[in-house]
Amino acid sequence: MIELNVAIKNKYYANSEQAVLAQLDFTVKSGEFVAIIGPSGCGKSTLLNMISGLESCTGQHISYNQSAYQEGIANNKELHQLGYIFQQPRLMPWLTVRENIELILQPDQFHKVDGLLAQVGLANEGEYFPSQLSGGMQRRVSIARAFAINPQLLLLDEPFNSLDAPTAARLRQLLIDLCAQRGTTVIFVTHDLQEAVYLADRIIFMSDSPSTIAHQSIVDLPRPRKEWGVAELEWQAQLLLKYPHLLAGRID
Amino acid sequence: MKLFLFKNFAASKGGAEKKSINKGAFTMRFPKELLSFLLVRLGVIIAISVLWQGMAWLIASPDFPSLYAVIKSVQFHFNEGEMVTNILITLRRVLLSFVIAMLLGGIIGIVMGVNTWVNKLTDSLLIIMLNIPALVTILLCYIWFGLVESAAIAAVVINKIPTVVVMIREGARTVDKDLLAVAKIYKLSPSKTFFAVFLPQLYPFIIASARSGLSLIWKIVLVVELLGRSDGVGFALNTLFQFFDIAGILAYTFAFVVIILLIEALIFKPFDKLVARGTRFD
Repeated sequence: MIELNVAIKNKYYANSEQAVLAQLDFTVKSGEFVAIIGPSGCGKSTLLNMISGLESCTGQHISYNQSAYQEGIANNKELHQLGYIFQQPRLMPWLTVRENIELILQPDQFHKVDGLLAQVGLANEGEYFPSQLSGGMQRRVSIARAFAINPQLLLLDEPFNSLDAPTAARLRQLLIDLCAQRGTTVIFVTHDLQEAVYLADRIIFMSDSPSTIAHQSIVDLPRPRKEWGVAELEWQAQLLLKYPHLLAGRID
Repeated sequence: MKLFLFKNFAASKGGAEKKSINKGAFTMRFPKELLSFLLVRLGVIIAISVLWQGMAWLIASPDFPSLYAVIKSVQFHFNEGEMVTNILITLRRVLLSFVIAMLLGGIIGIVMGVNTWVNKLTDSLLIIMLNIPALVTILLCYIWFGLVESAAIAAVVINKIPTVVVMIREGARTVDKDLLAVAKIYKLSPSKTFFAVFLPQLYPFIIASARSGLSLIWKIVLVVELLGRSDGVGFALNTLFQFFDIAGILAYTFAFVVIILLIEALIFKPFDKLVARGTRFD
């Protein structure tokens, strides 16, 4: 299990004087599902990239299970189980669905692929190429790929954007099931409050760039939740009544 | 005006419908279309042959041999045996310099495309190399290294490398960083990242430079042979030129073009299919 401490100060975009992340300090408990909401351009994807180790800055201190590391999880040999589901599926177009998943596995793990594909409802699509699949199917492949390595920490960057509502709902349910099965620690970036309330244990609201943490809320609703449940909608209404500009990153 | 626009719109709409109907029927008629395509090709070849033969007959000059004379000449040189030997020698040189040029050019191109610092450092050198005439490289190689086989190969390779570098560098520059990020996140080994994620993105560029490379290389090899070798197609052509054996020159050209076409059909076409994996679906 993995517990994560994130402390980031003054992250700049490459070739820019403007800080994108001013100061972010938060902890993610082991097995916790944290959603991060913020206005577009506030650096949500940058935050995930920094946690994963794809980007870095001098003022960062990110540690997991109390052990600090500078270079990011992607460069850390001991922590093998990091899953990252990007905004785009990012499948290799020249590999079949099966080969895309096998790519990141050792040969002795190949037997897992069939089960994974069945779990995301693509049991018969293994030999197809990504360009032969619909957008929703490609995303399911990228979810299957992320779960293939049994991630301890899973990062998701608005993965259900621009999908039709029923497909997105099915994929959210799939995500909840897979995470519950494995006790995965999850950081889920979105700009959709309803989605966050449906999925998360806790929601972190980011301010506009240069961003700080504007607000944090624990979602104390029982599971299983409903996307259009009364309690869920009421929870959102109360929060937004208290902080009408919360989704724009302000608590005035 | 309004009426005209409307009419135009109706016409274009009708056209679109027609097109889609045609498209539907296309798959059903495919073997027939293929047959007619082949017939047209054959027809063109026959027409050119007839035209050639007719013109040669009209001009009736030894400088313009008839198709029949050229075919006779192919047969003669083939039976003599020296044509097969010369073509094999030239082919060996072509393939050897092709492989060396593609390997070296590919490596240099990738390094230049990935590393902006190396690119800045070597960019002007590349432009100079691109613009040095092939003939100058050949002469210098023969002068510096002597009239030996390795000098001939080196001359061809040096001529070809810059064009390979330019194409592969362009490919390496456009490599999708998002896919490389996937490789990093899932901790693929450096060799797996290179061969399974990086290199496949370069295949179209490699194919393009291999195609243009083969045609350029075999032309340069002939010049190299003409200037400093005592065997090969280039040398044979030079000899035939001294005897003004125009039918012989055309016979050699003919034989070599056929071989290059065979290489295209037997090696490049299947490779093309492999490269197009996952991108083209009809």
